[in-house]
Amino acid sequence: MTNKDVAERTEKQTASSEWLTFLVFTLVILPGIAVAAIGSYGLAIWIYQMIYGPPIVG
Amino acid sequence: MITKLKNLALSFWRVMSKPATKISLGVLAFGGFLTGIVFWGGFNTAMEMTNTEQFCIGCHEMRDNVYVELQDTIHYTNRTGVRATCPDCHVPHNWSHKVARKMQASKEVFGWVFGTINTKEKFEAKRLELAQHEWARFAANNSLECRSCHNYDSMDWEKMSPAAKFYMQPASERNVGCIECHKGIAHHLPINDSGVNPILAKVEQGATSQTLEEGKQYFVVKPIAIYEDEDLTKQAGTLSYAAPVKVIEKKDDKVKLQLKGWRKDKGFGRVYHSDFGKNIRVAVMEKDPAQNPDLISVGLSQNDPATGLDWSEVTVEFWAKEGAFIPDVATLWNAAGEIYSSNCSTCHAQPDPAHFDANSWPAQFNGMVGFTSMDPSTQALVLTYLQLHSSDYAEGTH
Amino acid sequence: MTTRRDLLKGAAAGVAAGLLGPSLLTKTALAQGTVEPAADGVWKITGSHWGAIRARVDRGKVAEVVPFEDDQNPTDMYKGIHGLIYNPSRIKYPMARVDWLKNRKNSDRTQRGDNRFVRITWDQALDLFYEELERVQTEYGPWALYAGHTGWRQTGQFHSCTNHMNRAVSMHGNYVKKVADYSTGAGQTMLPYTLGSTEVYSQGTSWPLILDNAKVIVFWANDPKKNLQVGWTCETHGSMKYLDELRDKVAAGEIRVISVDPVKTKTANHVGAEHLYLNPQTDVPFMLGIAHTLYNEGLYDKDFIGTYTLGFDDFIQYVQGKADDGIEKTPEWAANICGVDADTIRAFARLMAANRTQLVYGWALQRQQHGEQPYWMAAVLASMLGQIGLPGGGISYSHHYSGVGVPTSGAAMPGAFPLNLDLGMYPEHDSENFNGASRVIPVARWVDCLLNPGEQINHNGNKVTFPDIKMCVFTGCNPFHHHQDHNRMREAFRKLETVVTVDYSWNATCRHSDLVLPACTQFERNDIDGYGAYSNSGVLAMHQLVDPLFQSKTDFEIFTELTHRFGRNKEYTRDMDEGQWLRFLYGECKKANEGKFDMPEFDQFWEEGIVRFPEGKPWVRHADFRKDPELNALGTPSGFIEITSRRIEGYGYDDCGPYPKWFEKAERSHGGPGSDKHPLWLQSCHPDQRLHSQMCESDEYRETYAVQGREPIYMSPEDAAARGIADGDVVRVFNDRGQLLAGARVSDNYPQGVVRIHEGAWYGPVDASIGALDTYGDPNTLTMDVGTSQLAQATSANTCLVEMEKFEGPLPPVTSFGGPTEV
Repeated sequence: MTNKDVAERTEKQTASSEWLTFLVFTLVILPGIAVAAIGSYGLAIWIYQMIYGPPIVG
Repeated sequence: MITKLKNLALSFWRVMSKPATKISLGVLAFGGFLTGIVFWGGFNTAMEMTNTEQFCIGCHEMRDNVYVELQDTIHYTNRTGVRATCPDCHVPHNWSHKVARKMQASKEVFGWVFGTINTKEKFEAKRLELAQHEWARFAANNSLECRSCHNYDSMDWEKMSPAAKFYMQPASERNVGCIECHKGIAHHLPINDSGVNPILAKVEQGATSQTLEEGKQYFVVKPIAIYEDEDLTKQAGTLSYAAPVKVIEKKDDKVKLQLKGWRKDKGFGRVYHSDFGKNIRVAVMEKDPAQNPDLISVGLSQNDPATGLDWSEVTVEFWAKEGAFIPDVATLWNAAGEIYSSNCSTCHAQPDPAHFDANSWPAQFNGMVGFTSMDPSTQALVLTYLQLHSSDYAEGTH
Repeated sequence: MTTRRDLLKGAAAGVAAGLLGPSLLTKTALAQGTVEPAADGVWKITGSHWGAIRARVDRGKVAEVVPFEDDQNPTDMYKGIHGLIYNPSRIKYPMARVDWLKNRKNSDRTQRGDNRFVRITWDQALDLFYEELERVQTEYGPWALYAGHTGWRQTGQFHSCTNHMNRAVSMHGNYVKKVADYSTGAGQTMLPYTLGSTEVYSQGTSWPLILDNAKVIVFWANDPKKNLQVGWTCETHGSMKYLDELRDKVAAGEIRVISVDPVKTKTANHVGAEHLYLNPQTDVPFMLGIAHTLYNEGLYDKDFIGTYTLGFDDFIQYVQGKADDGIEKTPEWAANICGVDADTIRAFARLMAANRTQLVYGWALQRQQHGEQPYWMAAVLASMLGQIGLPGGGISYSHHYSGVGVPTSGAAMPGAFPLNLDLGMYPEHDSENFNGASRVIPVARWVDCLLNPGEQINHNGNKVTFPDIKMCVFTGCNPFHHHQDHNRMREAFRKLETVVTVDYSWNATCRHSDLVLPACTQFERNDIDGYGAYSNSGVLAMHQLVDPLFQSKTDFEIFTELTHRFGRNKEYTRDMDEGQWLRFLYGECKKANEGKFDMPEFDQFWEEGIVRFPEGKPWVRHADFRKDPELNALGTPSGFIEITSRRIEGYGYDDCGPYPKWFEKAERSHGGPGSDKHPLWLQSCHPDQRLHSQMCESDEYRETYAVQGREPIYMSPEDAAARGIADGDVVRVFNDRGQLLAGARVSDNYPQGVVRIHEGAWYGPVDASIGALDTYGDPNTLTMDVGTSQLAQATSANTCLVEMEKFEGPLPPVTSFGGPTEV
């Protein structure tokens, strides 16, 4: 297999792989990260509250 | 297999790290924006789904216990039809705290999977602990969730009943959190209060969440057993209502306490009184411990000219369980005073507590208490209240 | 005045009584409970001091009254209930005394008692009431108002008039209150020092245990067969069957009953008791003679005295003549005073010591001068016998009262309309300044207080300074029946600027008032009540039988309208009406019984008329103390029975203490002081055919016992013969304090030198003058108004000597009944 072969194949696959990557990223990975981030944020607050007690308001 | 995954990730990264060649920036931006909206909408909808009463009572643990109790209260049905659902009170309204609470719910999921409270008995056994979590949360945020509907500034004192106003107005001035007085407003109180006067039950409830500090003085809110040993196996006696004790030592939820009192030399010396010559009971000792010099130190004997009996001061140290002590005895007296004035005025005007002295009250009280529906324990409390507010202790009487 | 409601009710009753709709009077409707619709009316259930009844109501009138079927021993007095509702003494309209209406606080008070009144409207009456309260609070202060004088209000927990008046007047301002009562003042003050409880209102050992264990029962100045006919709440008469069982046991020779009493009582005759006569007011010498015998014959329980009592030695010095007066209290010494021979005293002492003996004391003993002493001495006797706390032994001061001795079910009874202000409520006039005077006075001394404001007296270890009272408010009580020496009272009443009385019948207190407001009877309102004051046998519905008669209103309405005048009516009612209150009180009671006793929902209860609770477990008085005197200490200063009281000794009174002693009385028959001038002892015990003064106005029923329209005076054949009096004659009874007419009843039950007029006979003076002849026969026209001692300052009604003669002149008409003279 030559470099050219690789380049050609890549050239051909570019459109579909870009679409696939875009969709996987926006529909699967990013939402997953977002949920995980919110979750960790929540978890962090929880852990914080376990150490420093529940939120104190006026 | 691993190589294959690695390659896939690599090729994914390669595409991701280069500018798009075949998809226009407009499409990418629009696609990103659109999925963003859809995601966020979906996420919040899902979270709100878990924030409904329907979701809460999806589990029988909630539906069969606390939800049933709620239905008897004004937070469920009332004349205006405005009601509170589970999350209104139990989930913080602030977004960050709400998310944190949702994460905490993993514990509930765990409990649900393993059936921690899947029977009535298990639930009742755990009720106090669960309630204490909620009380601590309310105490810390000063009853924030209550205040999303109820507001001191919007209360019209003139429209309030005098009894409610009596308590509410001073509370508003000090901005006291709602839960401090209104525990048990939507669900049953954890202590099985059948037979216990409801006013009293509230005070007892307050004591369950009181942490004790060494060296400080507290008052017992109800008669409790006291023990010679820290494992609480050998009972030394029973403390009476409002007995003042000093904390000497703390171990887990057990405390070593010191009590000073006076006992009569006639008899077995089992009954301790609050003051010299005053028949105000603070503790009753078991027969053997009452004579145990390791436990009790006895002072010099003094003669009481009012009866001719000899009295000695005693100091006793013992172990007891936390959860029945309060630092300020006034709350107990408020409860007792209310019970006295309502129970003892059905037939006649009740005498002022300061009308008799401490040693006359037992006779007056014993003579009439049969006409009230006070249980024996409440009787003991009210009598102690009357004695400690009698002419011996009140100022400017007679 | 016919209202729409009357028309509706009339129509409904005529057509389909059972389907009668909810009352329109109340916002919260109460269905009219019925047993079954009768062709000629509706049967309803209600209660009273005389027991529960069912009444047939036909076209808005009570047509028939029968005892409730649960009541196995109804009192005959249910026959008086119809006449209690319908009689000419009912107060029809608000009335004001003629001169008071004109001149108010400057009125001519010598006219007080002339019974001349003007009819006024409700609005006028309540305005006047309010204005007077306002005037007294602003012109004087709380010390000038006396409103705490209360008594046997009609039954019913919600409408309890005492509570309504006290709450309403308290919302306006503070006032002088009373302590103790006329029935048991000396006992309830004395016994706490000795037995550590007031005792007089305490539940006693259950009758079944007494009947099973006692070998000797002593009824000492006690007549339960007479007094158990009435109760503080609705009476069940549950104790009457035990008196029947006792009669059978006496007949079978299983129990000896001895009645220590000057008179052969109704109870003694009923159970077949042996009668041990002693001279009136000489119980203490008699008991000292017994104590002397028990001590010197070694019959007393030394262990009991040692373990459970204090101060025996000091007392016995007095008995042995080694202390105090130096007189040895031998049976011979006692016999000289009490009229019982020494051998009988000894035999009686031995009998009690040899057997399980239950002592049962009545209240008459302590309603005499030095009334503390016999009660104290009785406790000492019981201690010497050593049976306190044993079934069928020991001592009781209450078995003649409201069904004491029937085991308590343990159920909670319904509460009442609040007497007190709610938390956070304060009076309009919140001055606490009593001008240096006491804000609580011993009730039996309140006439002294009117006569001698500023005077200081001793009372129970304290000093009481009499306030200068200007205005009184009365409800649910009749002081012109229960207080002693009416002529002295009349003098005292002339000092009062304003007297307001709320009542349903025109009694002597109304006659001496300035403003009289008509309340309706308990049969004209809906209520609930406990069934059995001690047995707690159930909760009773009190269905309104008929609408309030004439212009009368419920106390609830009257005081709602009064508080409306100072804008506090909503607080007063808590914004609830009659129906809501009944549901609330019932609901609270149901809650208190939850888990212990089942109670149906209110509507079902109201329809059925009663919730019954099972009889409780038999119980022994003082048994816990006997079991462990340390843990279950008495309420005395020491926790033990105090034969000698150091506290009382510390008060330093010359008429009480340090142990029970014999004190000569101001007046005593059978050779005592004053008996040369007025030789007859007048006893004025509780009536047999009334509840105090309640039901005296029930005309037809009164006629069943009155003699020529006068209250009977019971006397011995000897006393009657000596004065030429025959049964049925009208006699004039008199002493230096007053005079009355009564109808002679000659009976073997009475010994020579003893006469009886039941208290509660309505005072009917011929005019407003002091010393006026009482035309009907209220014994308190003659009784003495002195305190028992500096300890209790209680009533001494039974220290009273009189003389009598056949009344020869033209008989003045009875003025007690029929209401005022309308001007």
